[in-house]
Amino acid sequence: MDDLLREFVGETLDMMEEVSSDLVTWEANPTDRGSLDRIFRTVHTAKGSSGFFDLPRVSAIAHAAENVLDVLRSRKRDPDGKSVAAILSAFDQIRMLVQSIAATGSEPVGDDSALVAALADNVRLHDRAVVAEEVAGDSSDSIARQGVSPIVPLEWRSVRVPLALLDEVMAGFSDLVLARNEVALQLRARGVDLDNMAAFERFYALLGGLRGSISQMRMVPLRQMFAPMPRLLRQLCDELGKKATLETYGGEVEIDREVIEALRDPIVHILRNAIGHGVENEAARADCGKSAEARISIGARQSGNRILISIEDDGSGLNEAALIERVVAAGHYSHDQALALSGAQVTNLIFLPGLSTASSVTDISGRGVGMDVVKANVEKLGGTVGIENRPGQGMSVIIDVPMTLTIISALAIEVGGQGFAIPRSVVDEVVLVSNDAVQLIDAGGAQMVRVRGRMHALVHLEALLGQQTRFVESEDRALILCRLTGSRSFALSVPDIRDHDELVIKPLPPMLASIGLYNGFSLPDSGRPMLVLDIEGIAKHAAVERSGVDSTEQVDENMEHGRGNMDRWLCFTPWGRKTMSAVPMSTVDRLVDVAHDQLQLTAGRIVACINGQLTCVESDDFAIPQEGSVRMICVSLGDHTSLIPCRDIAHLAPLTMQLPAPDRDSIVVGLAMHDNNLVEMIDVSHMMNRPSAASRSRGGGATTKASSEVTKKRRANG
Amino acid sequence: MASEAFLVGRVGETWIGLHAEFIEAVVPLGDIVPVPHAPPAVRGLVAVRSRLLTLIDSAVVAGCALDMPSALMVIVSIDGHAYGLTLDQADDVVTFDVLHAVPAALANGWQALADQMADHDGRVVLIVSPARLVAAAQTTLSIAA
Repeated sequence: MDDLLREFVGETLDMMEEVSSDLVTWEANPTDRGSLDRIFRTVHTAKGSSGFFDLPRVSAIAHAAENVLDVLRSRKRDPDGKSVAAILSAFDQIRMLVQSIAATGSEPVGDDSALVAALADNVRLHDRAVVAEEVAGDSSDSIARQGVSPIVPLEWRSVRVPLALLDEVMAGFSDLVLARNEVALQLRARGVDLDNMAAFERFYALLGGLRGSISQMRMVPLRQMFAPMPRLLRQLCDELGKKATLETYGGEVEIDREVIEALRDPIVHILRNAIGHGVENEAARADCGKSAEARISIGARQSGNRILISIEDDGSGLNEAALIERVVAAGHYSHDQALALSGAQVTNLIFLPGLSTASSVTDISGRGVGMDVVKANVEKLGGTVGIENRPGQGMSVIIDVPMTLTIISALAIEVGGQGFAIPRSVVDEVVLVSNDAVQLIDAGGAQMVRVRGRMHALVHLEALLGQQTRFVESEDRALILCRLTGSRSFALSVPDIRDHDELVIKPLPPMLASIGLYNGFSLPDSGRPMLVLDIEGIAKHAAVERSGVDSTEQVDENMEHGRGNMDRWLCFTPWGRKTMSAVPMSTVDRLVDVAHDQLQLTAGRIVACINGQLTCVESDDFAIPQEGSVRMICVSLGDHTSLIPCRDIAHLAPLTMQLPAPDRDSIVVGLAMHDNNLVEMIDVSHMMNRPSAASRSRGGGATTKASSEVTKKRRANG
Repeated sequence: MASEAFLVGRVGETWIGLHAEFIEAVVPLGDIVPVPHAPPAVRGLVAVRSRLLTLIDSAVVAGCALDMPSALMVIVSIDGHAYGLTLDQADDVVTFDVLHAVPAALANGWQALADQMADHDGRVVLIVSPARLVAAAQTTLSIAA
């Protein structure tokens, strides 16, 4: 395909995309003159440009459509449903042809005579006289005849620039800023007083302005992404026999082109979900007293350098019971675990892979590519996805993404004479330790902090960076409350916050990226390289998070029962084993003696029924005895309660982890020595959150053993 | 091959020839900003002429002990990232007439870095590809005693 044709394809598709929202406006309100004019210009330009190439089909359709629009524009008659439909199909056909040209380099062979005839009919039906005139003369002159300038209006003036060139300019500018910093540094070193040097001040101002313009070059209004949505919605509704109207707002909000590209698919997917799963059919809507037409809105607003995009529907909302069922069926959680989840945790289950709450697989959605992919795509951009579920009332999906990817606004922190940066986008709040709202809590050997009633795990930056091992919180330190994906958070304790800076971020070489603590570096005005901290990476490193579904509560718990801290542990010998184990005393509820007939094997795990209450028994080596009772430790974390069968309870002891567990997935968090005995320290939270025994390879043996026990027991009972 | 240019320099007691086509400059080492938890062969970050470089300690990669830290670095660009490779001494940029296969197993980390050698003024020079040195830096586990 030669350059000219490529240009034509790009320009035509762009124009059609831009005008598609006008089509919808015009469809809803055929008297909207502004939209009609823009539609006309698009068709006119397409017709004109296609004339340069050998594209007879595009030319013919554009020509016929132009005639219809011209009649409507010149107010020779009022538009009606038929003419709107004809124009829409003409647009569809042109788009299809152009896309095919883009793919193959030439116009596909085909027959559009029916469409052209329909368009011509449209004109003829309503204005025979005009048609006669058009047919006689060359209709393309009709504009000139009416004295309307065929020149593309001013607002359309733009040039197409390859994205690579834009990136090059951006990179060049970044280097320019760095070079400026270097110059400033060297001048200062020579004793030049830059603060009073007008020329240098001007230099700074100019560069600042240039930075704005260059960032702007990468920005496109969200309108561009919203534009095709109304048509997509209409198609979806037609396919599914549902009715919905789409409302968009915030189309003027501008966002990095790269971000928009990456968001397009996730948003289309969410929209499909909303129509496919969320919106009820008309009868069901009538039953709930809702309007026949569902209302769907896509909107955006800017918040600092973040863009919040929300997709809302007034459908049935997320069916939490069905979701839990799917999650259990997919093996992500046991039934008990799933039932114990709190509201936000349940909603977030939608992000687990391989789920769909639709009862049938449709063309629209339910193909197994779900919200997990949406979430992954958004997170790749440094964004987050949140769900607000209003059962029976509808659902909102809120996507929070950075406006741009190359320049970030960041907090600069000084640690041990070295600067680090934290992107503002992940910072919820900065508080001083001395603030009255801050309450430091030392529990279970781990430090936490409560800020206005909300608990956060506390991570010391120096300890994390290996500069100090033991740490005492002091009054003059600052806490940065960092937001993680989902609703999780933690507090990063830092000695001092130096300032706030706009940083040009450079990607890290693989050997530094693989550390997992940083996601870029930057050279600020000081000329000292600065690493950008990766908050998610830090959370992982500090073991703030652990399992698939995380919440603030759980973060706190994990810290409380964190790795390697001094704590009082209950040592015991587990059932069927010789090695001692220990659980943190803070998790121990009580000791119970469970009679053999209170135990049951069900769905691959053993449960105990005590006073009408069912509790899971956690052990790979346990089998239900035929008689007598078993002493068990009842441990609880939040809403979860489990029983650990044991042979022998030893005592309480302060334990210090000497070796971490070799296997991260093991429920043993580490090894300690007590009275010359090896003790395995158990991570209670992990033990409760692991999959049921049936799905573990080692548990398979135990299950068989246990079921044979049950069989024996039944036989004995019988 | 024979007409290719090499920068001849010294790492510890060993003379090496680095493919000159990757090399942008040889500069004295300035301020180094450490990177916590980085692989041992990464000494830190350095800024040179407003560029950010990841500084790799060639001696650590090669597994040879040094009495004092190297004072020079070679700036190379690999896969779009700029690196500094430490050097104790830079001699000259030369072309070699003949490159020989290294006939013996090399000690420490050298084995992974060089499989050819050349003669330069009666000295044996190991031919090292900067890309290999950078790749090896990521996997070098412990600092030489």
